[in-house]
Amino acid sequence: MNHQQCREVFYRLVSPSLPNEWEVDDALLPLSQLHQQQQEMLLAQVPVIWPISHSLCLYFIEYGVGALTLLKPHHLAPWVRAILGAYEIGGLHGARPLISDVRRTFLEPLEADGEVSLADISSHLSLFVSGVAGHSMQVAGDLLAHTDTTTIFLPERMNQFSTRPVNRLAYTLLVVLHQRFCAQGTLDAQPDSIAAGGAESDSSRSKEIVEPLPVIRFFNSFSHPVLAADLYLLFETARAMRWIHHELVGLSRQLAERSHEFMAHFSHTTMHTPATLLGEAATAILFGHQPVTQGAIHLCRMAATNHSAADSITAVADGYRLVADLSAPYERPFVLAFVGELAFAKAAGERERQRLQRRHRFISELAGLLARQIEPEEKMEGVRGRDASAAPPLVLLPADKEGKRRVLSSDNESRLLPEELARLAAAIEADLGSMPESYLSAAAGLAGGGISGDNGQGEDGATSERDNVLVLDEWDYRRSGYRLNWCQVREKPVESIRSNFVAAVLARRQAMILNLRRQFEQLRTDQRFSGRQSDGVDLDLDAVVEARCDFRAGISPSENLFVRLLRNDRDIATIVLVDMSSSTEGWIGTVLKEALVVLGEAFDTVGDQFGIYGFSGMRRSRCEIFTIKRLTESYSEEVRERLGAISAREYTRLGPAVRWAARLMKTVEARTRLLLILTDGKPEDYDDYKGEYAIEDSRKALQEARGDGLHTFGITVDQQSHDYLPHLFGEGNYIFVDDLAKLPHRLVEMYRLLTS
Amino acid sequence: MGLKQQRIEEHHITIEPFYLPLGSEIDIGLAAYGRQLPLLLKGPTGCGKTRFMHYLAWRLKRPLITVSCHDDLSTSDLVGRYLIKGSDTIWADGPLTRAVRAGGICYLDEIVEARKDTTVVIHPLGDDRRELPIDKRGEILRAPAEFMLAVSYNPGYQSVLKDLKPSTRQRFVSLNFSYPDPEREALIVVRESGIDEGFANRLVKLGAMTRGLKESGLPEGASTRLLIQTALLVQNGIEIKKACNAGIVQSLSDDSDIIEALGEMVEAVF
Repeated sequence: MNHQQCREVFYRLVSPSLPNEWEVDDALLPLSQLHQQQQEMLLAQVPVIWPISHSLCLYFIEYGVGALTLLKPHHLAPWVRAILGAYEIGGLHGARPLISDVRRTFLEPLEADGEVSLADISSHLSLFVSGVAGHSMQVAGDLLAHTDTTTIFLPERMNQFSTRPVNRLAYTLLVVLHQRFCAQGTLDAQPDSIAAGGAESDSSRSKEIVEPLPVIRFFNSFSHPVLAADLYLLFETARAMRWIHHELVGLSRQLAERSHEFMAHFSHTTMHTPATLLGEAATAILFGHQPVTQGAIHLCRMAATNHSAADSITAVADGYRLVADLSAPYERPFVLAFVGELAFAKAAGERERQRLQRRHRFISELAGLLARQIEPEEKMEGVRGRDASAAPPLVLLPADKEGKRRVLSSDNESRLLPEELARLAAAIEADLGSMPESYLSAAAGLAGGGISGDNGQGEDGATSERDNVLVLDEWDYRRSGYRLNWCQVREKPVESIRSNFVAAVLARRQAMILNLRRQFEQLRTDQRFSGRQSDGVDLDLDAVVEARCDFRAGISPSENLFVRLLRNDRDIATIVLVDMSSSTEGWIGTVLKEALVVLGEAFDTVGDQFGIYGFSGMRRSRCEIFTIKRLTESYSEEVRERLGAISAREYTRLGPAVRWAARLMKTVEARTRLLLILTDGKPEDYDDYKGEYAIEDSRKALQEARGDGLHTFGITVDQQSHDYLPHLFGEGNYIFVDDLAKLPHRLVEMYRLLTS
Repeated sequence: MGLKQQRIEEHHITIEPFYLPLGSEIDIGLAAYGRQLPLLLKGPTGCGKTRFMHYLAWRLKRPLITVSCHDDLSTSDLVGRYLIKGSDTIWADGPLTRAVRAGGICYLDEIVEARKDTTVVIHPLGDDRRELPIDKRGEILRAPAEFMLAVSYNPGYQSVLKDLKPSTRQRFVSLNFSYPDPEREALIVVRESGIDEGFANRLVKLGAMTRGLKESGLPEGASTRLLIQTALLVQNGIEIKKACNAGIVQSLSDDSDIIEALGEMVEAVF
């Protein structure tokens, strides 16, 4: 971007403020010399800093340029946090050194301190491990590193090692190790001797795992169960490390380069205890250090020959004999505590949970498929009651030559499973060996009669409620899974009230609305023919006649003789979700309403399909959607009256409202489908729907909506803090309006930008 | 200038393009050609659909006429139109008509991008009639036995609105393409770029890792094409990690978290 473009972007970012041009020009001068990516990185911080202090922001832009060459992308957010923190304590004077002398004031303390916090890196660490695993995996904090097979838990902070890069590398190592424990079957170990106890394979069994798992019983059969478990961990770590050396050569090389720094932390004594032997063997396996003690050498040799979890289990007894002679009490060596533990029970529980989730999803999706084919218009309301006895039993056919799966109902009609459902069926079969008949009959029952056959879940299941209640899942980030059938969303009408509110707004904002109408009319173009084109679908007869005349007259005729069909029809459907929580009471609510009235006029001018829905409610059992204008309804006087009747209600449970709107949007035929969310603060409800939980659920709901092909955009007037917005809506998918009076204008402007 | 101009219907592929079959697609393609059936190729971007068509055209020794579809592609753009040159009105064949006349292979790339009213023009060509009606000239062109129609699309693309209509879809013999298994993908990277096998293996490993982010905000991971391009950069002396950054990481996403994670994958693999 050149200087002029940087300026435009800057003014747009700080709009509606209008800082002095000479000030901005000075500050932006060094910026225009940078690469576009760096420019964008720096400018992206403007909306964060500008509302705190204008002069700090200008200083940041002017002098932050130098810092960018020193900072890595992941430093940027903590750096800006540090700057704002320093500003709050020492004003501009206090914050300046952090910007102008970033090496001394920010980077060096950071390096020296060496500590890495999981919170800073968890988002991309989980993307990294998802890539390594080949499927989605999460990263979360806990005391010891372990995994339940879907989430890898790591210590919140890593400061054991002297420098930051080593601590960072330690996180990478741990996350890969534990991913390997899932992938190489470490957590599925079934010791032969007690395997007769049987693995959990029948999901109809009790959900609680009361009996200790066979592998735990196996370890318990030794006099030091912890030592036995650690031997197993050691052997499995060796397998994982062999994989790393083979597949992740870069990581392996980094570990070798840093091995002395790791070793400096895990020093050894010469005492021969089981703990020191295991410790020595573990450091040898992890960091390539040569073991010297005979016992450790033996352990390493044993670890080098195991090729499966079963091998490792077999080796445990031999290893145990080798080290347990030393009759000293066993305390876990530091290095194994660093590697963490193997959470067998948690992993088994997670497997069971996933099994149930798959079962539920399969049943409800298959039922949905069957029900849709019976009565396609039943989309929003779930499945309504019908005679249960009519439910046909189903047979799931194996994949045909093209890999397609079909279900066969008793009336001999086969239905093709959508790809997603076929994958789900394959996952269930891979897990359980075959598709349990109960799943199919439950789906048939659900589709046919609203009786789920899904013991216990039918009560609060998606089908038990009356019309216009939708039961939705909610995302729980702590367990990285959905809480099934968690929220009940009811659609309620807003009673229109005769008031002069809308008329007053229209009168007050007359000039603006006229202006808007003009702008939006320009966007409104239908299919039309455009004449005198150089090529096109047909001849433009007027032009042809003229050309012939010209030719006869001895003038060189024009060659633009065609009509061309220009097709600029705006095929856009928009749903506006309006926060009707109690916090919007008072003048915020008035401005929100005013903004909606103006937006309604704009929609009406441009002719786009639009709906306006409010949301509020209290607790998961009562999430409410207030219909102000349906998508299919015209923008009538009654709708205007309903706009005037919007009033503040209870809480802001954003997730279910977004999911509800996304479902509604699925039924809409439009090329572009947009979900605009208008809120005044963080999502929050009366129960535990608060803080991170609420933000993560709302974020997930927005992600799901985007997955369904919707565009989502957030507009917020949160006066307190808005640093959660990029995380919630995604970078570039939200705006923050600091001056409430400007909301109507900004809202409509945003809509124009988004759709033109 | 030494540039040789060629009419598109005379564009024969003379040098055998490298194509490593992943299944029976070559046999099916040849059989479809022999039986005069149209072909539908589907699969993610950069997995070898276009290369397969080049190979098939070479095997069959027929000219290949490729049309990249877009949402302003009209029927006249495909079939042809009258043009006025000076005082004369002359008919100019569109690429589809040219392919039919020349008995070539007409390959409509990314067919879903074309408007639905445009795609129906291929319907009579796509079934046993094998005819192309040219309304404006009042003639029907019967396709010779050598003519073949092939279309491609990426099912993971865009919304449901950009899906193929069943009436179009059900005229075709369909071949599903996906990324090759690691061994074969490495072989392709080696063959196309000339880098050593060990490096190709790691590049393929990296590619597979990026494809694992499907559910985490990266709808399409690195294609085989991207891997080859990166390998070519390395062949030209660009440092490996810089080549991966330019050839893969930055080409896949603008999201800072994803870029960071991809960078970490590069660090772990190389």
